[in-house]
Amino acid sequence: MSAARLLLAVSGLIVWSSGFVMLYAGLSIGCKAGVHQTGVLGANLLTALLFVVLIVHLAVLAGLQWHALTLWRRERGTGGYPAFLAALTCLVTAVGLAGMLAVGLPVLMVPPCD
Amino acid sequence: MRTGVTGLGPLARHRALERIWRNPGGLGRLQVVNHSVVGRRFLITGMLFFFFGGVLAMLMRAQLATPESAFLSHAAYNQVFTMHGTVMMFLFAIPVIEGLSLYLLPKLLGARDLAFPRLSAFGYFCYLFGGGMLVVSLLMGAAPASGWFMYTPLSSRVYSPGMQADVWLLGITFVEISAVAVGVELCVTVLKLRTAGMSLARMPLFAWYMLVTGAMIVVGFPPLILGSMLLELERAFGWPFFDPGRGGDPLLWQHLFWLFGHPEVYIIFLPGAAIVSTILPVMARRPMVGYTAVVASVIATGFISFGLWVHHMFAVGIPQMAQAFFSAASMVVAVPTAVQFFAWLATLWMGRPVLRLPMLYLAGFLVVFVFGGLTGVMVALVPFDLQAHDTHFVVAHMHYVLVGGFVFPLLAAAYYWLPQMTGHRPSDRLGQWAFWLIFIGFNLTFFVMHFTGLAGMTRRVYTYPAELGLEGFNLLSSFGGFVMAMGFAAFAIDLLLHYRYGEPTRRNPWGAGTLEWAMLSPPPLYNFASLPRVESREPLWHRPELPGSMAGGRHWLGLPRNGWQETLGVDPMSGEPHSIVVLPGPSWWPIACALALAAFFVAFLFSAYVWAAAGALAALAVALRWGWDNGLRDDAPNFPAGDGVVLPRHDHAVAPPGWWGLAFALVADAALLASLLFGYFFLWTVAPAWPPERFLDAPSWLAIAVAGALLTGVLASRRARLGAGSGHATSGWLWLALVAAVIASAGFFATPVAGGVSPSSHGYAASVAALSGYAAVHAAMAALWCGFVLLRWRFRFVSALRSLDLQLLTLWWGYTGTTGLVILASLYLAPGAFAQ
Repeated sequence: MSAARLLLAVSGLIVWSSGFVMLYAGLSIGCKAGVHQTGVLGANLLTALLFVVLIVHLAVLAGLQWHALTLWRRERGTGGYPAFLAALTCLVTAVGLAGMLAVGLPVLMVPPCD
Repeated sequence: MRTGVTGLGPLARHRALERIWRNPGGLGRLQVVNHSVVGRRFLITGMLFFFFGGVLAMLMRAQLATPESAFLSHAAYNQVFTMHGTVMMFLFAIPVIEGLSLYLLPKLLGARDLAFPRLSAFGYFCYLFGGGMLVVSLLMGAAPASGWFMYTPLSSRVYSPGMQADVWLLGITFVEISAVAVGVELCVTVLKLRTAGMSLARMPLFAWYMLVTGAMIVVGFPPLILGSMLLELERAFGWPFFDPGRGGDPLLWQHLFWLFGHPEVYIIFLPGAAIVSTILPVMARRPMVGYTAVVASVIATGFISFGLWVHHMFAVGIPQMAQAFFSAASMVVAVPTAVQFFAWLATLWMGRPVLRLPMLYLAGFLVVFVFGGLTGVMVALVPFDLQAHDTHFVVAHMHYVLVGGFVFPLLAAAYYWLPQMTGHRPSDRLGQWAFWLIFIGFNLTFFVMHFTGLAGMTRRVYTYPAELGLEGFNLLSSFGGFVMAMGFAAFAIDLLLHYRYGEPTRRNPWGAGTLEWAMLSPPPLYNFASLPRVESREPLWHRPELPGSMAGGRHWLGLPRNGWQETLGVDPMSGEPHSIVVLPGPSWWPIACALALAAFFVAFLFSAYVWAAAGALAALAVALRWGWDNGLRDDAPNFPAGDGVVLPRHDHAVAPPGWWGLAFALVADAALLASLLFGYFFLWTVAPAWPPERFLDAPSWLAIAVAGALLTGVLASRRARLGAGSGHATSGWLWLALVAAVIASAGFFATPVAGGVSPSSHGYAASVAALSGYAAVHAAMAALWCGFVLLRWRFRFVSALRSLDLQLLTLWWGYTGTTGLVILASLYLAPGAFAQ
């Protein structure tokens, strides 16, 4: 088992970091470029784009969570560090998923550039 | 036959190991690199700075005790409050954390020393010299006076002429070099230097906390190092990164500062929590509840704490949605902290706790930090923050978090580990007096301060008018401050007296389960006579006979040989040994390198740039000479290590600690570059006075030549490494990589000139010059490194079996090539992209 396994254990929070940075940077650049002044499907374009960023990250996190659960089901009960790492991956990914949801919800609740 | 059963008795083994690990005396003490000594030096120096910072706090409280006081002038007060924050954050908290970790980690992990003992010693001298610069400036009345956060434009040349701000920028950068060095040290030591069988699942929680803290230091400190460099470039050479009239933006400083500043709060808290998670289960006499959940929450805290920095900037005028992102993240981070709290409470609930002195301080921590956490959630809410911003409410909150989250656990740690460190017990009675004076004094000072802030008292003002009605609150706070000071004085007296008058302690007086208690008190320099295979997280609880069998040499590396300072190198995941790491002994190079750097910083402070360049070159020369000493000139066989296993020396192993050290150093380097790129695009997006009069107009062939040289260098260095591994000549590839590096470096240096941008003209041009300079310096280092490896190849330091030099060079070239291409794209493609 390589050190890449440790990276997998924290990948949920790496994805969370990516989502957080993309939401904040996208908002800042979008407001500067006036993207929010264009409408699409009854919403402004910037909100729509940020929502897509959020959904993509949530989807990746959900996939990771599924993978982590599969790993955990396979390893639990075996003892030793693989079982520990599988449980750790599950927990960390769950934090990433919940954190992404919490941080991303304002996209739907607040106008972007006010 | 098991290694260690070799006819050497425990005493003879002890003497043989003492001879190998012996430290020089007299002036030679400056050469000492042993982790126990360097850790103690960090701790003692940090505590001296703490008492110095405490005296400054008392001066502030004396000034604020009564309205319109003339005890301190406004100029003196500004220096005092700036230095109080600076000393406590940079010269006390972080170095003491580092000292405690450097001292304890190898002992908890079952190792004999750290991965890079000389790097830690170098870090200590950088800290000492950098901190010394700041203290001397205060004694000379020329201390920084712009606040410990050094906001621009107050700290810019216009509003802070003279060298006060420069002292801060240069001194703190010097200290931060030390912090990053120790951060790398902590990460590599935890991952690579453990005893046999200590998998990630069996690591003491302290090691998990310090692994995350080390990684946070590596990623979190570079933004401030970069910010300090940019502000110094603006102050010294007029490169306008923060001047809004010339394409800069003062908010860039705030972003860079808080990109560092908020993670730093957790860099201070997590080691406090590490102490709690180590001591509390011993006091509860049961293993920690929820080990995996606690590890997950520590990792989560480490990541999420990097998403909070803008909550210090809610009042600067950013969109509501951005505020909501950071407000949400600020509340999310409370969840993993709460998980740790509930795990501690559950451990106490399910255990059989005893209220001994360290537990008393932990109880103080639990109460005080909960208050700090709750007010933290309050200021995470934007509407409340806008009311409380820049008031004494925030001062109170910050002290509840930092004193609660770190100082109380640190005092618990002192009373818990001093018997291990010195072999003597401190006084219970004096310790209890100290606790109650500190606890009562602290709450008198800072609980009241919440109301002072809500009543309207702003931070960073040297006095206030009587008619505001704040004198009662302030007098109470000042009174509490002096009560707290008496508590710390009692602690200091106990600390000083226990060594002489404290009762001698027996081994493991608390009945703890971790390995630091398996050794004698005070511990020998080599820590353990042999390294055990561990099968649980609390090896001493499950195998109480371990201390005796370890001293008898019945485990790994029990046979002293060749005068080598040996410890085990393990697989980071499983903890299975895969090499014998031979550690370097005492050396003059760490202090020589730190002195050369000190010459650079002091010369820069006095604008003696030629001398500064000479200091930098001297530091580089010393570093190269230091590196020259590493490694063997001949291939070595495998050696018996223990349990019938033979292992190679670390320089014959794949990915030895040196490789991991460079990898973590490059993570810090990448964080610095990411901050620089953030600044480049931030100014482009947000700063007023844009666009600049002209963009980079360098010929495209220059970019193509540089890109070609970068790719050539990357490929040639890889071929050199592969060639060495298969026994083929590598020097031709190394020469090619060297030439490519020279071309790339020259190309990057020439870019701003060829592109017609003058760095002092506009924030854009300054950013272009900074990015080009970054890439040019890295390529120049690659050239130097190629030459260095060529020389070492010639002198037989490199062979098919010993290819660490080439592994490191390949890693460096991979980083330089990748980042060079990113920088080229940013310089040449961004203007077109942004224009559209």
